[in-house]
Amino acid sequence: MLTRRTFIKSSLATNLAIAAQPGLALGLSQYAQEDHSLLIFSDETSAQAQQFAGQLNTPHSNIEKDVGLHFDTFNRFHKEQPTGWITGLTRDSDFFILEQMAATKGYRTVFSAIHETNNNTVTHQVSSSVDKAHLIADSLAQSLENWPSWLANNITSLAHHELATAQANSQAGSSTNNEYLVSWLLIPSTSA
Amino acid sequence: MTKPLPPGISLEQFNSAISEMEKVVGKAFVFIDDVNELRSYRDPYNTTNDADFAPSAAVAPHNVEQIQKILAIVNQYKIPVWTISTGKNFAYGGPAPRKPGYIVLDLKLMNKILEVNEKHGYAIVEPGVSYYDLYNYLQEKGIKLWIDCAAPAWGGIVGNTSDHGAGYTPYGDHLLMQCGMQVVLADGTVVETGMDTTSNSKTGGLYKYGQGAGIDGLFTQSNFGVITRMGIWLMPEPPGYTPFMITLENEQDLETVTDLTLPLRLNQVIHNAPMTVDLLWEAAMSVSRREYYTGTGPMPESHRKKMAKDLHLGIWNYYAAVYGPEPMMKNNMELIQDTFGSIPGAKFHFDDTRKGDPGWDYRVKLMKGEPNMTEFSLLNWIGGGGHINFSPISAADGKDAMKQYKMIEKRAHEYGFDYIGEFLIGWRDQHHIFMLMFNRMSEEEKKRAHDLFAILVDDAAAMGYGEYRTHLSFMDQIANTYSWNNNSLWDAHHAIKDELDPNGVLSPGKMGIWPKNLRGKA
Repeated sequence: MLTRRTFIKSSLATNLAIAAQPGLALGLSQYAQEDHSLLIFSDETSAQAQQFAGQLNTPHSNIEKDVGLHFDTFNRFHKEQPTGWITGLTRDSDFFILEQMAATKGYRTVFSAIHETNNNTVTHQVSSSVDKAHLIADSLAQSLENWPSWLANNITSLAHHELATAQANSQAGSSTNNEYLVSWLLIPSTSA
Repeated sequence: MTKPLPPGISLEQFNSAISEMEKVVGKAFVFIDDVNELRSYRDPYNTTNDADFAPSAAVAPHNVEQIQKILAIVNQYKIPVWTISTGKNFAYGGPAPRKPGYIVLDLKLMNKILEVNEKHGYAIVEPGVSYYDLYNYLQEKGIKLWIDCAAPAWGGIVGNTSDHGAGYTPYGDHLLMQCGMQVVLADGTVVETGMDTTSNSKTGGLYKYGQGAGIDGLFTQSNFGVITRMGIWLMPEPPGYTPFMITLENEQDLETVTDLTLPLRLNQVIHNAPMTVDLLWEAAMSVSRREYYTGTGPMPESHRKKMAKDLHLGIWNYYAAVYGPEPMMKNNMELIQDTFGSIPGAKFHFDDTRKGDPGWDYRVKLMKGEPNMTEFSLLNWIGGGGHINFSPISAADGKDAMKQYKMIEKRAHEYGFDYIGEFLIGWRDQHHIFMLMFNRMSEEEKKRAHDLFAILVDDAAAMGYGEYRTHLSFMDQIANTYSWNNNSLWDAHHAIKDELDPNGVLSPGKMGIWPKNLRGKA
């Protein structure tokens, strides 16, 4: 569980200017969790991503859909918090870009999961260590529609250090349809 | 996993070479850890095996002198290096090398903007400068020049230009706008091209050719040297800019709109490279496939039509812009509207009605050189989206465009994939980009995509088409289609390669150009 979370910094100034723009958007906020500052990205158009970000108890705002607008934020975070961690519940493309950006700064992916909703059923595909994957997927499924909250509460304890991963699928009811989100955690190699 | 080593090199030799490189650039800039360091030098979109393109190490020099020393080391050990600038060439291989075990020569630390000349409209940059970097620099300094960026703008100017990339402003032919370069040859010799090679040159960024053979092109899509500096012309900010979109209702309209475009383009009524974009590409900017169709295989026509109606899109969607003083733009727009207004069902769209639509917004940015990453939304069309681009050239001719489109669409559907594509009219040609989208988590789908791509190369060649750029996996196959007169062109490439790089250390296999020690062994 995340404990002793300390809020460091909330939304960016730019968020306010474009908060009125709906659309494919990311929310972003920044925390400190014990020894590690945490930079959080979430897809603002997704109720699940909002639940994830909301559970982390930080203000977040709509910012424009283009993940390129986050590059400065990412670079600034890395400069100010070189041991900080980065997490998110986002569209797949946003994860891909951020993962690639982070990799050039020495970050690596220590957890990721696909959350795909079809026909009111959400399927969790977890990439983690062999011993954890099924456990995490089952826990997400058992959390039913509150899986984003469970994820938020546990995200920083889901890191694994093996390159090889296992996958597990579980299903639970959902009120949304046709959604494909990815949750992820990136940490700098110095934290491994 | 066993660490890949450079071909023909023992672990002892490898370690020794690495140790020498560390002395040149510092230990912090030589990367050998597969888990923590080399993951960023893989191609996440490869359609075969990750190990096929896994480097053994990467080294990041800070300057030309360090490059010279690294080349001396790899020549001594005969270790291949694979040069990248920012390494964001995804869909064509990204930062990954052509073969496992190469050492990536990563130039990202050479990221200085050496000069911007506002009066004459050019910049001189190092290879690590991205489109974002140059754009931000111009913005911060208040310099009234535009860049012309690739659609995902995290890429580098030198890398994109040397890979014959294209953009969307009137300066969209990137190699045409390149002016002067500095190159380190395999033996460490530094060469400057064009006017820069004269003493106290003041015109390196102004005139491309100098005296004697123009050799800049030799260093593009090739492995004859390491480009360490490049001049690039920048467009002065125009007094006006009017982007527009035309939605077209019928598949056959591709033929008409292409034929109507050519005279407007050649006569500069339309200033930039117009794009004719298919429905699915446009739709993918704002919706995913599963929102309209959850079945397998290509999306059925009925679902496509519903999507087009819902999103106010055409089967084809045409984007272009005019630039300049208001009277000039007004005059050109009248001509353009008269011309395309003759297509039944064609509808013009402008900022007042389209703003806020993700597809429109990012095209508007691209056509004025404003960097963005929106095009990556395409990857959300399917879950786990990966892609490689099949990129044949066609004539800017309606019948030719239709012929090429139908050929690719038929094959794509036969292999169970959607056709997602666009045509970009350069001057007299069209770059046809078929974005072959596959689920990168599915081995079966990756193999199917690979097989489709391979057969498209053969089909295109049989119809007289060649590709302008390609993914690592298909460089040799496509090189073999440029085979006129018993492969005389590639024989010439190889003769140059053997002369300039006798040990074959620079990017072996780049675009199908191999050094003699590896030729025929790929």
